[in-house]
Amino acid sequence: MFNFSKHEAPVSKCYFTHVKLPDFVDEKKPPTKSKPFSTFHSQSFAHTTSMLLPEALYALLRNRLDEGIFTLHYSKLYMTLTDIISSDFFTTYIKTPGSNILMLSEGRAGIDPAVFSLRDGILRLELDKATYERCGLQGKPVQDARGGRKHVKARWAVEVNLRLPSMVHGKKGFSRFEYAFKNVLNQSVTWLLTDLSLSSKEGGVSVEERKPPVAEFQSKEFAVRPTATRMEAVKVPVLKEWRRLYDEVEAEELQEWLGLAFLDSPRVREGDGIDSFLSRYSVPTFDRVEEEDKGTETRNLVRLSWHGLASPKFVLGLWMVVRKYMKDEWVALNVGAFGGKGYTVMGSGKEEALVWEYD
Amino acid sequence: MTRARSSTGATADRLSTLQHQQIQAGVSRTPKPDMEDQLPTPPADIDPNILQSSEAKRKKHPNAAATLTFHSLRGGQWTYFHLSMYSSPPSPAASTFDAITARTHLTSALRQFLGLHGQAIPVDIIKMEGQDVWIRVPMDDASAVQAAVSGWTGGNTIAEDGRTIGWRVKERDEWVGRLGCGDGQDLFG
Repeated sequence: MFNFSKHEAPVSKCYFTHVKLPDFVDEKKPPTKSKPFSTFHSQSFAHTTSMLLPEALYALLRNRLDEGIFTLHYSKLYMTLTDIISSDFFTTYIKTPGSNILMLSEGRAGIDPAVFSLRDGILRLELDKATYERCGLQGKPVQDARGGRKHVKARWAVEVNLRLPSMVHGKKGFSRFEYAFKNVLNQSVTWLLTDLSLSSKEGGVSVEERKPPVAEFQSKEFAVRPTATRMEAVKVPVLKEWRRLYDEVEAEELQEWLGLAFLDSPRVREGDGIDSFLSRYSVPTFDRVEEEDKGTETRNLVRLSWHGLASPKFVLGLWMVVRKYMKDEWVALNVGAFGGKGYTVMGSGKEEALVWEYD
Repeated sequence: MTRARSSTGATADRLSTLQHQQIQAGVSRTPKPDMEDQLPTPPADIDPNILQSSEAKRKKHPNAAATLTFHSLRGGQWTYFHLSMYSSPPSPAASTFDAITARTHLTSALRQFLGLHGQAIPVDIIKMEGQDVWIRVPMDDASAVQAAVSGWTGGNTIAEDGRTIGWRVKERDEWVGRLGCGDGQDLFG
């Protein structure tokens, strides 16, 4: 009637998984391939991390919140690509064995002319067509996440492993990059950097003290402590058996409830007296056996949130600490990553986990 | 000619029926116990014990991690918006902005753009904070809501002190779990 087609933009999907966690998890070396551990590793650059947990569980964890593992360390600096592949910075952060940094440049993937990232020594340049052609570097077309849509500008990704022995000054392949960084991609951009080689205990030490090369680039250190929000009398759906969620509708309903709880929406509070004219949302019920059974319980919840560059290591660290305290309780973790990706993980009693991955 | 054709057609039919019968006979000759084994269909709701037993066949460790179910959720029901109200000249910070005011401004934006049809679009207010509103609308109406809301200017009334007001769409998402996060570009600022 109004020329608004039902699905004009491709609908983003959400992958829902119910997993049984392994009975034994090695603290020193947690699994990487099974969910939810693979989910944590799937997003290298997260910007918002939040955790939702019952107040009883928060009370147990509270004393540990001052520990390094709950503090998010990252720094912001201004540098060009030439700065990365030259002098001290290159030697200290990329070439030295054992060094491992995560870096992300300003810009939105898929929109801005050039977005750069550095992970595991691999420098990735995501470029639009014009910039890519001027660079003279060999790259691959970026896989179209939207399923081969028409009228979407093609983009290219150039990837190079800077840790390779061939990536040193004077080698032919390397001088191509030097040329491109000197003549085309020569602007100074804002970067976020987190040093993964620092263990959580060393995290308190500022990067200037340990590693001088960063100081030249007007670096600014951030140590983000969790912001705790106490939410009183939240209506929590009772979920005795997670197999109840095997229907898509129910999986979506629980995801919606978690999303609203993470937003701290008054709609999930007990005694929310909003008129149905303004909102018709009601907390879903899953395990209603009898008529008197409300299907929800009222609990106090706490939301912890961090806003800053979070590595998979940080998120995994949070999970590994919290899972020790879980017992019969549940914990939900919501992560928003750069590039519009994200996931929600809900775990309970060390046994099972639900994973929603937004694509 | 026609008679001949029909007769050949008839023989062909008879042949085909014969073959069909033979094929059927062939099928019936296959051992029955196998068929009966295959008959019981797996139960609709999956029992974890059954899953574990099938994993045991794959020689997996019983204590290992296992994926019990997997779905691709396509949404399809709701779209969520994070809207922000702006006014020009800027209103004092203490100005009150409640759910009913927000709903009124949304309704007038929708009515101006799509008339009665727009007015009928159900809008659920999820959260209010300062000048920001989070709403939920049916996915089919999402494009209409976005167009109506971003193209609307209102106000210039006594209630608004003669200010011009409008909506800014900050975020739009099919999944509310991702909505509260933003795009993270503020970290670079």
